[in-house]
Amino acid sequence: MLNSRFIYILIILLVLLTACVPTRELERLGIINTYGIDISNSQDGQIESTLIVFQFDAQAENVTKTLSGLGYTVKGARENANTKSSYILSPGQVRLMLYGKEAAEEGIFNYVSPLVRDARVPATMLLAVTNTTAKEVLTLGQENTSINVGQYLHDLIEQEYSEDLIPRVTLHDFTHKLAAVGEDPILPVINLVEDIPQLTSIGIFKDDKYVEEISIPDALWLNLFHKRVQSAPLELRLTREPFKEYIQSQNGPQSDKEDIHIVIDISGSSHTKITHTDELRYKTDINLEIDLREFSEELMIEDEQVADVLEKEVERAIKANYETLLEKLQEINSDPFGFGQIYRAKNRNSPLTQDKWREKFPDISVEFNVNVKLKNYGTVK
Amino acid sequence: MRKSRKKQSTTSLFPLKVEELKKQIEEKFENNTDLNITIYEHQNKNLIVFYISYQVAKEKVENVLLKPLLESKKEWDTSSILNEIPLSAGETVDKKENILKNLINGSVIVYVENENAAVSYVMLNVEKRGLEKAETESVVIGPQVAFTESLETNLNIIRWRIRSTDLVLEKFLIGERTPREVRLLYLKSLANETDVSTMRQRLQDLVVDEIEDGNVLMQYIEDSSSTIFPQYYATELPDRASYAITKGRLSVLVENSPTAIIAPTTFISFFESTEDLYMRWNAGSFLRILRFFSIFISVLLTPMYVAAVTFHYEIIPLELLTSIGESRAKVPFPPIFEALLLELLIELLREAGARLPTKVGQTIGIVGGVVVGTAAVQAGITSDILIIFVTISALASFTVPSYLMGTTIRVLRFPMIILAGTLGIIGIMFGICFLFIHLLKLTSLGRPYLSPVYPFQSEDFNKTFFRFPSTFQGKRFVSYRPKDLMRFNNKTAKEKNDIDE
Amino acid sequence: MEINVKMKSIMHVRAFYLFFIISSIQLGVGVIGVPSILFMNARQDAWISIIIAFIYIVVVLLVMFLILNQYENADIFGIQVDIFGNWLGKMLGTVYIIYFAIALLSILITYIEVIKVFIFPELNNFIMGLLLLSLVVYTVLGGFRVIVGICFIFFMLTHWILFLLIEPALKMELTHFQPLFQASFTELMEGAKSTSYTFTGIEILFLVYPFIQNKEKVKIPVLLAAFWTMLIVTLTTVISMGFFAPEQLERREWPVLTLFKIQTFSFIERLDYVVVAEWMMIILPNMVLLMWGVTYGMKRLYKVPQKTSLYLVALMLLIGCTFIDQHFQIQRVINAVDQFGLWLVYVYPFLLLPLVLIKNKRRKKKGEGIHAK
Repeated sequence: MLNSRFIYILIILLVLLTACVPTRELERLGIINTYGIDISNSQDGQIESTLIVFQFDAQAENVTKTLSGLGYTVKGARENANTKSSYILSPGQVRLMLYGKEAAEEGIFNYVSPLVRDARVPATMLLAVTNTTAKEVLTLGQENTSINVGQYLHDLIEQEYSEDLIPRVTLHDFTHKLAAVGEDPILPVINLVEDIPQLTSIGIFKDDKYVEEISIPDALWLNLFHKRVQSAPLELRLTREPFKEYIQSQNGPQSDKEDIHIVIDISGSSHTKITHTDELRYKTDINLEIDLREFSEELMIEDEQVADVLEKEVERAIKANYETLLEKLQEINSDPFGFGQIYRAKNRNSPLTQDKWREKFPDISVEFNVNVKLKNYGTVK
Repeated sequence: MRKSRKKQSTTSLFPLKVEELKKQIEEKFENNTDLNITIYEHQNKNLIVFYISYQVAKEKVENVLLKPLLESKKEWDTSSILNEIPLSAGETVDKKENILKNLINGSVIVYVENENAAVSYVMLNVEKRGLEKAETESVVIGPQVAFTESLETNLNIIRWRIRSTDLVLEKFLIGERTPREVRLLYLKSLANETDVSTMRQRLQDLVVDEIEDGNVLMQYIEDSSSTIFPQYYATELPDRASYAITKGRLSVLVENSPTAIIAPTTFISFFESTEDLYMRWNAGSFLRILRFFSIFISVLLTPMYVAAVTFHYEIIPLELLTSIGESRAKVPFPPIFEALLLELLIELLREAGARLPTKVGQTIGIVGGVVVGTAAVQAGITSDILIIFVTISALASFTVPSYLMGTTIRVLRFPMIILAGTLGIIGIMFGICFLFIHLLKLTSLGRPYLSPVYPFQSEDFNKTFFRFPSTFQGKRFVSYRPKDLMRFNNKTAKEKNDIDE
Repeated sequence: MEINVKMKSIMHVRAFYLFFIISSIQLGVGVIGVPSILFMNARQDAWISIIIAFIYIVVVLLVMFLILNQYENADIFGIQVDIFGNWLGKMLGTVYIIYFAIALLSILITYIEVIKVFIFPELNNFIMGLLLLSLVVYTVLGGFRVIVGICFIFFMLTHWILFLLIEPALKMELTHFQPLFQASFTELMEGAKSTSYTFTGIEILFLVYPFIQNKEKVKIPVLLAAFWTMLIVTLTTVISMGFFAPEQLERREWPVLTLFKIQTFSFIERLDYVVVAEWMMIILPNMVLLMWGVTYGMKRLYKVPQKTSLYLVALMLLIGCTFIDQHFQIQRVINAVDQFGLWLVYVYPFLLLPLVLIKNKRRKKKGEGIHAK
């Protein structure tokens, strides 16, 4: 039973405890919400970090504050920034990490690995690249949006992800793809449009270097390649020709426009398999169900035939999109699709290395086999 | 606390003269004006009748005892008094100690000069309050009546609830200086023999000058006196006591105490209310699970806040982080101190409310809770989020049906807050581990305290953690090891019909 | 020294608690690091290594049962004295005790290191060691029944953690497991061998066997416990392999704990903090059982009162964990336990079995049959 000796021990313990771990009270901390990392142009390869920090001061009206610091390491730059703040800067709640264009083009591995090493840094933080410097995006954005720009950008990317428009870009996903052989990471690109930061495109990485950007609609194709997509909105351009007779419009069927635009919600998934290992031939089956949302001209969907035409045209458009995207990626020799992973999984002979895959990737050929089914088209035929 | 039985004088006091007896009795009751001694001369014999005036029913003495005694033309002696006076509870006494004892316990003593023994009649008159509603364990549905201070009434209530010849009410007199009657109640055909003999042994071996109350007796006979957890259930509800007895447990009633002790008791049973039984099984189960949930909230919510704010800002979601941070910024104290202060405030309010008369108590609750709470936040002494947490955990602790266990849970919060404030989440985990180990080591009347969790008795889960419809309640608690496990046959109860039959 | 253990019936526990005893002592600090070690040896076929290890463990367990069945109610200390005589038997018993103590130390220092890396970098080893050991001492003071209770209750209280693995499991990349069957036989064996630290603990069966009430039902709970451990190790390994890229997994120190980092709820984030704290509940039964093994062994062999040896060993461990605080020192201790355990747990029973059988046969011939069944 709980004897008196044990109570004494407990009391002694409690006395000892009070002096054993230094406390980190919330209100004494500067909680870093957003990190911006640039290569400083003033000095030799130093890192300039821009931080958006929550600091809780009873007098101050706004809890967010922007700080910056220089250093040779990420942590060093943070320590330097800390000299400008009376709060202890802590990285446990970083939600967004922004890399300036210059830094991203030189490779960001060295700025990412310390985040993984420190167990206190969350793995769910998002990474992004800026098309200018991260500092500019954060400081200008903070001035012009009058809200916490870091949180705003975080929510922006999160929202695009939750609509299934772009792949997930958390720290874990990035490091995972970076480390995996036969797959290259991507990150969203933040750009200043009229001094307001926006998500403009998706950056393609070759290893840890930012090499090219693709449009946001293209990111959907990447996303669809990796996972099941649930009703992601998509605007597609189709040729007008096959729909001619079904279009009911004020100007009559003889319009001189060549294209029509449709908006559809797509749901579905894809499956890729390697058909010829030696010839590097792949086959990707993409099965989609679409809901028609909008048509740039009035289309009469009277019978299945129209639906068939529509399905076929959408199939063709998606296939073309995939092919141009792959071509572009092969040109820059970066493989965010992860064809290399599939090759590695099927290749029993020798372990694949990243270099070997770089030699092979431009030569692969993929047959995209798109299969579209129209499910609903709203309340009007 | 073993006792050697007190030596009693074996020599008889009688025969002697009535004046002599009067003198001896008066000597013992010096300066005691309430002693009523009268000497009558009847048929040439001296009769002496004496009693303590407020201990006996005077009217009864006059009408039933004195009237036949004096109006009769008979010559009285001890045996004829016993035989002819129309009273049932007569006995002969011949020792001085017994005479005095009976006198105190409300007897009238009649002695005929030069006889060998006196006759004593119990004509007890005990002042008692009437039956009232339960105050400390109030219930919404089900029997409302509570035990009173009168043992006789309590026994009457219990007897009336359990009309079985199986019911045993063993009698003990405990207390060397001022003895008090203690009754051990159980059902002969159900109660575990080991439990009964353990309890009997503990009651018999108890040597104290007096037991102040049932709750005090409980502390004398419990398994471990240093733990904070109560090991027996003290209830003022007769339906709860009789429920325990009919399920094969023991109950101890103490004279002048409105609480019945129920033994053995498990930790889980402190969270059972008889109300769960009277409710539909699904609602009853919900309430019971709610109560288990509330212990966790009550013990862990404030410590978690303290740990998160002091050490682990990483685990707070961002939306909460800013609001907690903003309200913390104004507070000049570290979180541990802030939390202890608020918990102390709540405890003060509770204690003041309990001590003051009901009407004033309510006012204090409102003044303290609303006014001081709001003012404290505005003055920046505490953060508003902590106020919410502390209030929730205080509320949660009051859902425990047993007042003793509720207090225990509230007290447990304080070491937990200190651990959380010094070692964060690791400290909390240390506290939880310690509590579990401690609970595992406890026993109640030699039975494991954490049963049916450990030793694992899955059959009892149906009666402890949740309840199933009565068709599944065919067995008594396995944990208490009753002699007869079956209440009714499950098989006939479970017979099912097909559709449309 | 008595070869068979006589004890009061009140100290007996039901056989099904063996499931909790064995799985509690097997699951400990080993499981948080084993995926990366396994992966380094057997690459994507690590799961095969686990199954090989499991089959081997089942064989070891059956051998242990066979040894124990030759006696009426004996434990390893009694059996060794019976086989090797008083002097050598006691020495071998001491080897077990030392092994338990070092295994206990390795758990203690590993857990303290985990806390330091994940939660409190500034934590004082002495304080943490004192806290953990005080819990251990407090439990062991309660005797065997309380120890079994701790195993049982903490088993129940910790397995909700498995639900937190759903999120990382959904993010697995199945290509990481392909191509299948690439590892060579030796690699698979190396992999199986590398799980030995994680799977050790079955040797406690040699000690607790006399405490079991219904000995005829012993086998199923023990084998189930080994199966359960195997299942959990497989689960964590497979999820780690799918969740991390191969090159990442190789470099992770405690991949299983990192898995929990991505789990968030709306009221609490960073479940890895909670899990690291919760891990205390996983290692406590482990440490308690080992500590009990040490003290019980001391009593059986040298008649040292359990309380004396309990306080003494706790003090020594406290000193040990205060000074062993560098990562590579800790690794050295773990490796020592690993090597030690490999011989003692996985090889030694096979050597003991023929000796026991021969002895038993000879005894039967002589018609003594005092200890024989």
